[in-house]
Amino acid sequence: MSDRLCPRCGEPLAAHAAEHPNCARRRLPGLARWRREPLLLIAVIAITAGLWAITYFLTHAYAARQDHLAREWFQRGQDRLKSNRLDQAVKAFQTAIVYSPDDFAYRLHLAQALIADQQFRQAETYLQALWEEEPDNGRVNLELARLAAARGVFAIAVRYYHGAVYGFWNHDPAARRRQAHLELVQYLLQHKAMPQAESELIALAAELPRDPAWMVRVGDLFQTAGVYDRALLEYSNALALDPRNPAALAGAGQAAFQLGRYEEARQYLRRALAVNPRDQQSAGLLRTADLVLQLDPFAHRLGADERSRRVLRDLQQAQDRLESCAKDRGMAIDVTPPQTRLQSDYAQLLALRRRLSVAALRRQPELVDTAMDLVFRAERDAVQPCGAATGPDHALLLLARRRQGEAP
Amino acid sequence: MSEPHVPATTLAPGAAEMAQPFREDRLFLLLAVIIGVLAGLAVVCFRVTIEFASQYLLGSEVPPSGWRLVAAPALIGLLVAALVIRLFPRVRGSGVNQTKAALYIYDGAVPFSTVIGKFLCSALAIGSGFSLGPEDPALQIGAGIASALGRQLKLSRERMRLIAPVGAAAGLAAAFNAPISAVLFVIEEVIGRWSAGVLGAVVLSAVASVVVERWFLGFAPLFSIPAFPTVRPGELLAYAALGVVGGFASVVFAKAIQILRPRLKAMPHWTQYLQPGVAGLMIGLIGYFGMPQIMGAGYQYVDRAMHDQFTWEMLGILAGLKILATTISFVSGTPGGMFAPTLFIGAMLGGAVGGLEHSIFPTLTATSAAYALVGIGVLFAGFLRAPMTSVFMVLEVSGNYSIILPVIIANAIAYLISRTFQPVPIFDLLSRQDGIDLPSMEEEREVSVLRLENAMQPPPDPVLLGSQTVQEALQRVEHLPAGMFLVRRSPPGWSLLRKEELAKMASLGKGEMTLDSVLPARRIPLLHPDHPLDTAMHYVYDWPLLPVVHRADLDRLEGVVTMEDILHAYRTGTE
Repeated sequence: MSDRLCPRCGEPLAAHAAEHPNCARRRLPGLARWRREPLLLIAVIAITAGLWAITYFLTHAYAARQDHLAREWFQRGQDRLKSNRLDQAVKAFQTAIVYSPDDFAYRLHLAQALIADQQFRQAETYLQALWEEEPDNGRVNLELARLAAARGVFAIAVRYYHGAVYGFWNHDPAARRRQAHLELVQYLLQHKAMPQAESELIALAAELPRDPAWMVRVGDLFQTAGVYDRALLEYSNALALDPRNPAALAGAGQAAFQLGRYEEARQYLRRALAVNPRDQQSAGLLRTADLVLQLDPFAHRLGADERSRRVLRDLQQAQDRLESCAKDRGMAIDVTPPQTRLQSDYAQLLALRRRLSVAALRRQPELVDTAMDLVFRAERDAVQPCGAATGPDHALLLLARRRQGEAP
Repeated sequence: MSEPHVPATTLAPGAAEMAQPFREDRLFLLLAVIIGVLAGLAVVCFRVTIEFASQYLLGSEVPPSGWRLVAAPALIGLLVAALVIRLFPRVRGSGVNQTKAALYIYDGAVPFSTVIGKFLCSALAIGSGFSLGPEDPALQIGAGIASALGRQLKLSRERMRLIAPVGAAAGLAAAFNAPISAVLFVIEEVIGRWSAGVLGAVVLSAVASVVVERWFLGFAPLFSIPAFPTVRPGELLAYAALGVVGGFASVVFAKAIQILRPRLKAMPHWTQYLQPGVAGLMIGLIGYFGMPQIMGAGYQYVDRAMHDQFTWEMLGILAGLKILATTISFVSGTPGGMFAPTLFIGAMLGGAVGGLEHSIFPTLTATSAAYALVGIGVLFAGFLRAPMTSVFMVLEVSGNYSIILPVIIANAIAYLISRTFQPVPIFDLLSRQDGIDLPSMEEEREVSVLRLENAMQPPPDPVLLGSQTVQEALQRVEHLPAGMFLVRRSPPGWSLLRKEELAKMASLGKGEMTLDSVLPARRIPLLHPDHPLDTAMHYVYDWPLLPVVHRADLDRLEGVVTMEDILHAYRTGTE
């Protein structure tokens, strides 16, 4: 016996023996086994390959049919959507998704059909899933923003609108982003979020195409946000491209009017009316602007006499306003000593009028300010008890506001 | 539980004894991969065939509509009945019990004709609208393929018994596209025990089959799960309510099958030809009159439930009708599975409960879709009684870990309610109705294992030491009544010595030799108090007095056991 062990059974080996005698004996039937195993292995591989091939052809046929059915049902969905059969469209899109569950466009169309069919909750669930897949998809963000806006969730709606504005769009991305931006601004304006709306409008204005219609739209939104100087700029840009654009002319007139630039407003409004004589709003504004310009004693390049005459006319106008107001309310205005603010204003007006004349105002030009301050105060005090001012009284109030640096 | 430690000096198996099982182990693992691939291919074909059958029999619209809804299941029911009775009598039912029977009764044998029959009949039945699913048949198809391969390779009986579950796991994994759930289900419900050898093969086959399935059918999960908000602690109560409802729904479902199935089986034989046709007609009528969603496996509707596509009232109706349709389908003997209908019922029920709760408590953050997902697990735990699989399945199909707490709570409640009112699980119930006594995995899980600590007696006195001489030892024990004594040896180990052997050694002139030098090298295997009692049975014949020692101190004797102690413990434990 050597100290070597049989590699098969681990038993001690005789000298020079390669394996234990028992293993050598066992090897004979094993040969048959070893001949069988490769054959079985080949058979298993052949069966696997055959089954693999069958599965391959079957699944390809299946995939082709699924694809065909998905397209067919998607087309039906679109047709039904066009003919406004919304529930049928939803069903068709749902069937298309069964055959092509991963198709983004199909699911998006389903969500849009669900929205059209007023099934908002279901639509939102689909859109959320789509958003998780493509968080920067502009269309998905826009739909989600609209749903959030409809639910009144302001912060979420704004977030999705931003996603739509800065997300990617497959077709005509610049126009789609602009449209989404416009919708965001309108949403912000609806919710009186003026600073946010102004910021978004400035960003939107920077990316506008050379299209007067867009410029007018943005100008209108600037006006709604109360940013009249930027509105006027947009209208001016539009007029540079289309000088006879009635909306731009009217808008520019309104913006200039709101800025207290009545002379400029009058020019725009006249042009607007020349292009569109049926523009009642511009006509009304033009009348007011004319009155303001006629009554304004502080206008530049005005002669001293004319300034004095205007002051006296304004004093008379304010006195008339107080008298007519008192008459309408059935109260006495000329009372000594005065009991109310109106009576006090009236008494001061009378006193001043007695002292003033064209010559007096020429001698003492500082009285212009004193007189006009009294006029403005009387007009303001009259608004509360006597109702909104009209005509020349309104013009005087506009002058008062401009004088005090307020927005008109 | 570790195997008892056998000191190297006592047992010296030859390399041949070790090499042969080792080689077979490796071959078995390789075979598991091949089984997984074949089962995966078969299940892919099976699923595609079901889809083709459905599209050609019911039309491509989802949900289907028109006269086909009634005609297809009724006529296919008649055809399937004839096929089952005439050609494939073993394909009735779901396939889970047949696979268990292969494991426990038929030494792993599943006739290949069963694979063909199950494939054909289930595909026709499910495709025509019977409210059954493809998973359990896929499980049986996998088991059948594995069994056929095992027979060709002439595997040992032990391996043959295990090969059917390996194939079953592969089939189920491919059908579910969820390998973890498949492995757990097979371990939990078919094999019933965790064993490293089987687990490796089951996992390999499941993974191989899922790889094949995804190769052909893509990586899309069974359901596209939307994102769910994180659950607030207070909302767990709402999920607990779902567990209660799901538990009772499971009981109703199981009781309906328990009551109707034997009655239909007891009817005259000729009616067996008609029962699936009548069942198909009834299901078709349900579909025709407005609820086609309950036909077939219904995965697309589960998906829709998870996307809030139904009102809670509709979800409730669908759950109720699906219980009815599945009961009718199953008790008529039509081949097909219970998994998919269980998922469907669970999802609808969950959605309905969630929707109702949401309408009562609008502040709940989760939508009814989240409840639909949890509901899947609830019915799985309550009806199929696979609590662990139910939890992992929801996690696997959703990929959402935040849902785990509601799932565990709801599933546990449903499971407890179902156990209370339906003590016998559905698969055990079915096998007993068929006159087969298969082991109940639920009962086996709950059997308390007797351990050595339940049988052992206090350490005897004296305990001899290996360093003592034979003479010293003899003097110590010769006046004692006991006939056998334990010897503590060095290095740590134990031997058994009879008084007569001591006396004989002394008479042979070995009185001055130490016990260590005269005792044979073979020692008693080391047993510890936590070892199962039957471990001791392997050794008590060779060593009538077995020492039980501390795990951390092998010299410390905790007690001893004899055959009498073991038998006594078994008697009292059983009582």
